[in-house]
Amino acid sequence: MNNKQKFSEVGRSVRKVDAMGLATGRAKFTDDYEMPGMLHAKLLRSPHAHARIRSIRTAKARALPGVAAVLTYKDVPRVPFTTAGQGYPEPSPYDDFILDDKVRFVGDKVALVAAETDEIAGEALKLIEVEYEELPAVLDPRKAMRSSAPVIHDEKECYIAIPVPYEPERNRAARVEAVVGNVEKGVMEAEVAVEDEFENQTASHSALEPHCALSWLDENDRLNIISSTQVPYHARRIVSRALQIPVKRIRVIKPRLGGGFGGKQEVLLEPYVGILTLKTGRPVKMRLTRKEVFTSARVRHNMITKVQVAARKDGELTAIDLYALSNTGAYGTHGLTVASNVGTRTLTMFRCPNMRFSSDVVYTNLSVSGAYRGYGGTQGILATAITMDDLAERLGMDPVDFYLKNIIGGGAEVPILKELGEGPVLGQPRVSSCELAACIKAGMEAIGWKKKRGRPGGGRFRRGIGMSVMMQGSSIPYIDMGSAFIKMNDDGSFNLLMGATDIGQGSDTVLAQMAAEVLTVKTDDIIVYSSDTDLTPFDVGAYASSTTYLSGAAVKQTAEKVREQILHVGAALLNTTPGKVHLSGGCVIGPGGKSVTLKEVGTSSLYEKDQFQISASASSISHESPPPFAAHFVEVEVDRATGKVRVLEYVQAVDCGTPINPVLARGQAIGALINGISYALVEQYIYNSKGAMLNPGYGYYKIFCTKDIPKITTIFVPSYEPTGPFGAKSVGEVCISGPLPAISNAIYDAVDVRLHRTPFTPDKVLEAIHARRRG
Amino acid sequence: MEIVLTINGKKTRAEAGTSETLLDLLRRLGYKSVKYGCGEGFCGACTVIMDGRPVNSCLVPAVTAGGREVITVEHLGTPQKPHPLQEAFVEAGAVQCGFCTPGMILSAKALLDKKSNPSEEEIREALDGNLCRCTGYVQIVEAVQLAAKRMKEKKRKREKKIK
Amino acid sequence: MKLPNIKKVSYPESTAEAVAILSDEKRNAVPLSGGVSFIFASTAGVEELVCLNRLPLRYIKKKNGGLLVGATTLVSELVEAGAVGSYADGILREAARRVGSTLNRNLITVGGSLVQPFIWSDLPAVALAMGAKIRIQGKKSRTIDAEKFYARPPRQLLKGGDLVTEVLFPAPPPGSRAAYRKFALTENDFAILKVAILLSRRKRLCREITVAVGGATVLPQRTPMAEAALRGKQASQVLVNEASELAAEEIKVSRDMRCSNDYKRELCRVMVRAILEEILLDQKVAEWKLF
Ligand SMILES: Cc1cc2nc3c(=O)[nH]c(=O)nc-3n(C[C@H](O)[C@H](O)[C@H](O)COP(=O)(O)OP(=O)(O)OC[C@H]3O[C@@H](n4cnc5c(N)ncnc54)[C@H](O)[C@@H]3O)c2cc1C
Ligand code: FES
Ligand code: FES
Repeated sequence: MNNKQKFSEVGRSVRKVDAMGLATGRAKFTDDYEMPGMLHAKLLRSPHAHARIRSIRTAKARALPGVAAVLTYKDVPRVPFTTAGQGYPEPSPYDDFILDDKVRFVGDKVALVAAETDEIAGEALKLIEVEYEELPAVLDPRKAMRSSAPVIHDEKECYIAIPVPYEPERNRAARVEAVVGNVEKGVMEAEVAVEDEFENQTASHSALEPHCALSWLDENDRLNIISSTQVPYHARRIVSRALQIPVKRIRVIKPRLGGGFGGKQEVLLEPYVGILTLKTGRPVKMRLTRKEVFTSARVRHNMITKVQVAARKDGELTAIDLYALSNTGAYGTHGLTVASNVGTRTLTMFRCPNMRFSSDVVYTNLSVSGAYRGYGGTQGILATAITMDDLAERLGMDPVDFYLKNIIGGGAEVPILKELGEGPVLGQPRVSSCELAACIKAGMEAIGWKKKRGRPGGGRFRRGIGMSVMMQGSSIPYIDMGSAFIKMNDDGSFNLLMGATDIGQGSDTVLAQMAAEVLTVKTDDIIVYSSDTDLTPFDVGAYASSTTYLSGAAVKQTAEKVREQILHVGAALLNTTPGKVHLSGGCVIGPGGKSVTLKEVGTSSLYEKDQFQISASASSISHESPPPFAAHFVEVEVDRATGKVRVLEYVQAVDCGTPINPVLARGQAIGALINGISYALVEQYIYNSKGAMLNPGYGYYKIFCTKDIPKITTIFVPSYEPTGPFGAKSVGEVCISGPLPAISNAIYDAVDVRLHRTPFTPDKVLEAIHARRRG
Repeated sequence: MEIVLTINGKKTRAEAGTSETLLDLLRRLGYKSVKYGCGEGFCGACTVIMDGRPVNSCLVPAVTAGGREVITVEHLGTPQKPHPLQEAFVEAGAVQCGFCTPGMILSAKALLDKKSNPSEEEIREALDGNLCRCTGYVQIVEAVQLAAKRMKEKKRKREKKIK
Repeated sequence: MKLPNIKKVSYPESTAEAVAILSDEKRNAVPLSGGVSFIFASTAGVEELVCLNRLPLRYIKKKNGGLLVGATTLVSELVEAGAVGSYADGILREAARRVGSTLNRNLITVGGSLVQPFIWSDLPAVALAMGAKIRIQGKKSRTIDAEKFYARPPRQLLKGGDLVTEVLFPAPPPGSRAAYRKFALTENDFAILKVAILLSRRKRLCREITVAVGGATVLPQRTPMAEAALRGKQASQVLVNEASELAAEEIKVSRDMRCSNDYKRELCRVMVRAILEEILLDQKVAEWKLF
């Protein structure tokens, strides 16, 4: 299984190529760019969850000195589009407008201002007079599809561009259904069955850098946009649609990006700065305040999940039935795909003949959901991993043994993927590499599972231990595409140009390592330039955990093509034929050990003989989406007097194929894990009865700081993905999904209560403990 | 309102706006390593060392910054000649997106200036006002430990030489 | 930051000078100590900021077994000072340590924290429990007991150029024990509730006790019924349970978006009881960190 080759640059923790620029404060993020004559833009935000704009008067705002433009829905093209930065045609409904005469959530956009300073723009917002007709609002996803519910998208223009169910008149943004086998039959065959319901909370990505975009017209009247985006190419296409200008007139550049986690896979600012630049002819910058990021950017889908699992006495699963009611908020971005991932990221893991997944994605007048690290997997694993823990207990089995009996292994066929995949599926879908069993064994060993399980102790503080297993994907098969271009310089260095988007995760580095591996040079001989729609070839962007796997394959193929050309030139210099030479240690080596350096090859190709630019480009699409897997183990201590849960120790064992850069891979795994623990214990949106978020700031929306971090052990189990570049698959998302169920299961081990609603805040835990005591 | 303050050792005369924070002022003057993350004192992206202590520059009214001595990360080192903390952050994987990094490094520097051999707990305490959503902090704490170790070794070597 | 009408920033070097500026009604001046509250306070009418950082008020002195703390002393300096650590079982240090983050504590001053309590403020509860004396200089200089200072929003007491210059945390009585606990969701979070208790005892006899609860309302509050239940009594687990129940019943609780008022009362009961078990009944509780 481990056809591990010896690599020299791959598998090594080379320095992150952009890290020193960042550590010395030199690297530039979008907000660090300024332009002469630049205007500052701000959006007026809706105070109502659902309302129609009866009248809107902007004269006073326009009259304010320093105001350059005030735009309302009357001044912008009315073209339905989606802000979801996905492949084309997007699987998200076109249900949004730059500005509209209707607002659909508190924080929705109402009017747009550009002014000489941020402060004047803020003053101008206050001078815009809006008269709203408030409409009844849908603030509970459970009530969204009732016949009495107000219709949130009653506009006639909204539609979805792919052939899937879309029923805005019922507030249903998407519907998913997939079956293999016969679930009812499976339940009949079972001796034990468990049914349960869960709900996860809305949450903010909280990338430290708030969304920002800057646009200007260049000397050729083209619209240039620097943006904190995970998806430059999708941004270009979506801006083109929203503003009704051709793609060729737009250039999108991504500079350093301060974290994304899915939150910047949305085209939230580009159309606004773009239209202001087109109207005023001037550069325009817009940066969200932290409050706006909370109220008006994107959030994790809140879902209510219902699940039934059934097994024979010996523990063999006979049926899994999973349903998710997904709250997409006011717009349907990523509604369908996140929902279907609830199914794929859970059901794929189990060898079970009867499985069903279904989901309704509903509109509400609440925060707009979108892509968020974990992408449905988090929600699905919450439900299945707690229910399986319960089922194992009823079977009198250790959950570890239960999982080992039921999970898939390498080479498994996964029929459910045929029903649920985002792209077309050709043939029987398979999982090539899977070391989940090894993950479980390594993790349980490291935490001392057998010793600790079922020993809560007495008194006020009880200890418990719990586990979960999870998976993610690596790219969207047959849909995602990545490409790269490499050219060689006279000193033997290379420029690597690619659309792949480094959002902090380190893809510039990891991809440079792959190029260096093929070209037998050091990673710092590869000069990376990424994510500029004018200069770098296409890439879908940073999402779906696709970069290492998919863009990596493109880089590898590109480098291989370049290697061919190098060998050609090298052979000529050595007076031999290409078939007789090979590339090694930065030299072309010929018969008898005669060699030329890459510098000689580069110089010769550019200046000396039969000159040409050694360069190549290659594209890659994926045929599979090999899942990374992980097993999580956590020990907690629960204060039975206050309900406070403290994580004492956390062990995660991860199968991500070959970690191309172990230090960076570890950083991805830990970063995702801490986000997941923080989400499980403290993060939440608190709304008032009118749908306004009460805690749009880090004062009352807490995320973990240094002092909240428990002891963490991260283990990478040996693994090799045959379809991936150098055996790699993805690692960016998978570990975020484990903490919710693992911690819930550990709480159960400690104090005998099952928590179904997240986050597990002290008041909720205490309530559950009291309820149990009351019986 | 005109104020005079010292930024990275340089006496600077500046016009401070009445609605500006020190963060706004520094960024306007070109010190872009000081970042806006929340504007409310919670995230630490705007950290500067002011009169010897790391503080949230977004909480300081610019008009009151006169006479202060301010240090930003631009002052610590360059890519060619980095500070040991910058070196250690790069090596230990403490930099992912890097948006929190300038602030983290300044908080760590203020700690190491006071205490050359901090415990893990002291490091966590010193960095508790600097949020990072990317790393989960583990490698950041490791980086500070690494830098502390190297700085101590360097100092010992230097002292040996002098002797 | 919104200080739209600021025309002047002054840096008085003496208290008298500061008081003079502040008392001049025409100048519409306010003191600025750490300045941290100015990002959320409304300051529309303010025309002059009087920065206190050059006043000779940045000190921590031992005084007759108590502590005299100057108004512009940083909260960090409280945390660092040995004298604060050894004062009253470290009650003041513990409260100071839990104020915001390290970066915040390097700006926030003792004076600013005491003068303008917010629901999250940590120091007022300790001042109240310890019977701190707050020194005010102004047209009429005076010293006010914390109890009176926090009977109403303190700003109502401070008029016409009044400046808080220092706080005396008096020597705890002989045989006393004290503790401060904060309960929050994360280490740096605004407390959901905090409790400060000072008591003096001889063996199990509780001679004197003050319980101050913070975070239930903006102002810190005493719990007279709970205190009375213990004062002069021979302590027992039963009595401690009773007292903590009384405390939970008698506190006023204002709405907190994060939890129900009932939860807060329950927390009050648990925290008061746990602290009393520790400092009155001498029960060893290793897991204190959990608050
Ligand atoms: C992110 C953040 C987190 C925080 N977390 C906490 C926490 O957990 N616990 C906590 O206790 N506090 C916390 N605080 C601090 C609290 O909110 C107050 O802002 C702070 O105590 C103010 O102190 P300061 O020195 O900055 O006062 P300033 O802002 O300078 O002053 C506060 C008010 O008091 C007046 N004033 C100041 N000094 C005097 C004086 N000597 N005489 C008369 N009037 C005076 C001022 O005019 C002003 O109205 C936090 C603050 C922030 C920004
Ligand atoms: S921007 Fe200053 S603390 Fe967040
Ligand atoms: S590295 Fe991205 S926030 Fe810290």
